[in-house]
Amino acid sequence: MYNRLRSLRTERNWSQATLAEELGVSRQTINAIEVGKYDPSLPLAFSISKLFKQPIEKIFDPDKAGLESQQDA
Amino acid sequence: MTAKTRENLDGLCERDRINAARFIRWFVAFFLLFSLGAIVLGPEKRTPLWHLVFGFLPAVPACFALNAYFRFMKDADELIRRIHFEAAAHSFVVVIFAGYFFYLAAQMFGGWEDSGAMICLLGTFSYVVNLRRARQRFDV
Repeated sequence: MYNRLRSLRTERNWSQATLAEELGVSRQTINAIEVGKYDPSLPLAFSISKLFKQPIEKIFDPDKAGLESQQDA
Repeated sequence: MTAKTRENLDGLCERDRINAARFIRWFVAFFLLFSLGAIVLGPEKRTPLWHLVFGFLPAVPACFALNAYFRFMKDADELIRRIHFEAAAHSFVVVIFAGYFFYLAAQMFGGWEDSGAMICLLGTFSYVVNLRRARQRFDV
């Protein structure tokens, strides 16, 4: 699963620790999601979506090209 | 506490860090009392009554360590919980298979006395190895 978590976070100048604190998870979880090693649970994906005020499909996509086209749109 | 343990604890969120530190403290206390008990009790067949104290003393920190472990698993953030569940599941399977071989080894080379200790050691070792593998897989 590809995601835009890192770009969304850096746009806001947040550190991984800050984002982790906002979401109530560990910094390690944020890092694992960003590098694509771990797919978050549905509740966490919804929390991320709510925090960044974007629909889930604009943040996560199984296809990298799909995510890039979402980003361009 | 080693530098690596501290580093791993630092990456956790506050709630998990407190639970993990509590577990480590009680586990160390349990291990020390267990070692003391093993030394004091020795291989004697006839056990004086006061030996029971050393036999049951490790049960106290063991209960607290178990409580801390279950609390950690219940409250842990989803990735950390998954890593620990994977490590526990894999080491459980390793211990089951090893149990059969310890049984055969005991049949071939003698009594059962050390089989329990070997399974405990292997379980702990396997848990640590699988924990490390899972952490590497998730880049944690």
